[in-house]
Amino acid sequence: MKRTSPVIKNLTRKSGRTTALVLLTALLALAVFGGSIVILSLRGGLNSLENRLGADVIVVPSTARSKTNLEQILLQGTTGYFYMDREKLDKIIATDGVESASAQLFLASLRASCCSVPVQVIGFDQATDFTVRPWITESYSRTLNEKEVAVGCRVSAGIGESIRIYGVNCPVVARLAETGTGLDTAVYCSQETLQLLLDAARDLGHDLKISGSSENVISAVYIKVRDDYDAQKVADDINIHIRKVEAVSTKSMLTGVSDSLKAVSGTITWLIIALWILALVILFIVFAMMVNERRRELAVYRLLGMSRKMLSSMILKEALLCSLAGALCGVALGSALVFPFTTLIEQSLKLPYLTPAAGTIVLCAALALAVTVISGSAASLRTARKLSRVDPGTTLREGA
Amino acid sequence: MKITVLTVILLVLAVIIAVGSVTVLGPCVHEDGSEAPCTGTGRAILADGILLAVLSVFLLFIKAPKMRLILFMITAVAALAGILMPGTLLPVCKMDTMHCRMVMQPAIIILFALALLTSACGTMAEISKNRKHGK
Repeated sequence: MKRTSPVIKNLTRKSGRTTALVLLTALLALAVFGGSIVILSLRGGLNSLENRLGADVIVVPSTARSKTNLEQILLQGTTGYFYMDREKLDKIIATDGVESASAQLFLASLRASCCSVPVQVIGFDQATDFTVRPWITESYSRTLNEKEVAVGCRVSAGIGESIRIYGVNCPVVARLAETGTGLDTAVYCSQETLQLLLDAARDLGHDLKISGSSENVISAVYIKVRDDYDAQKVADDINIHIRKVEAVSTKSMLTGVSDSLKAVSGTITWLIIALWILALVILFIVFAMMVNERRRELAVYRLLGMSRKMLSSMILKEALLCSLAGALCGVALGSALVFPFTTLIEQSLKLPYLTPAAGTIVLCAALALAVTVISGSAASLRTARKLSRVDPGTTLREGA
Repeated sequence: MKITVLTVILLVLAVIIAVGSVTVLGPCVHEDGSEAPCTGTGRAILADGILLAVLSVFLLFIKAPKMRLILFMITAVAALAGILMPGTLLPVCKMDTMHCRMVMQPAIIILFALALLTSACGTMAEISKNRKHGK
């Protein structure tokens, strides 16, 4: 006949108590695992944005919403467009401290054939670019020909397919690596292609508020500042000397993102701490209640010949099993809540969000399991010690 | 008793799926009123959710062991179909940031996966119950 361990028997006999313990420890593991993955993803997103921006200063037209629009395009993938005269590029290049500068041209598609929503189209100068090109090179080493486009990883168009933008069929030649920022939802092409698309949009009657030829306009200038110059000073110089433009130091843009990230991370950390304190207090109370509830039961075990050590070890094993089951449930629940909803979390927080690598995720899961199991077992230690000291004779006489 | 609990869980999941598919877990809505690629998928999910709910209600009242076993198996197949519906059997929008991709697809897959797990547990419980009674 199959013999069930007394530990398992105890746990299944009091299924309500066991379920409550498993749920409590699951909550602990969920908080640690889910919280740490979200915090790590936000940090990963910020690092990725830092790497991808690549420029020290970005210059946009000084129209009131240009800077906000640029941040929204870069961080949230919102579509937008604004234009200034190309001659501004020459003035910017002539500014002291500018090592290199490259212009980009923006266009928001209407509903592109790939997607049910407009996509941001970014045209970059292939000869001078130092921001988009290194990123594209990771997956496509050739130069983008006319009408050829590279798409962000969240634009669902495969290599070899075509995207129809303003009636122009653009073959997709590359899909870019994930950045966790708004850049993942954009389409990239050469400036010549974008000028072609601008003309196509104007032919279809869309007012892009461009006067004159599309060849004479740009949307933003990305600047690399010389090592011996301060980026903020160069940005201030441009703001003072060049009219109708606004130069933004990417450091200040990143500081804004970093501050928001700190606020979100701080809130999550405090939530985890509060949850932990609450759950640990409840665990201690549950185990303390068990002392009275199981006094007579354990007295009988002692009478049957179980040593104090065996009793302690039995209670510890019960707590260990409950904590392990809870921790596994918590990590599984955390995975089901965090990973499938990555885009939703990113869109809700309005911050760059890049899920960590598989190795880091496994490490986080192992850490959450270990911390939860140790906490659950530690909470039961006092009870185990107290119950093992029960005097069987007195206890059974008291209850009689 | 335990099988009744499983049936109630199944019914609750089915109601969440059905109500969710026309509210927060529904397909994308275009501002111009035109149909998104995921609109039909949303309708299919609603139908599958209703089917699951009806089968769960039958399971609450039918006592015949073989009939209950068959019903649990059908709910498992319906749940599996539900998992495969958004994105595999039926289309969703192509952009990751669309509502159907961000919310509907993951939430519906998780809910149907839970329904499949519940149905599988119910099927196993019915099989072991039938064996115990030698039927």
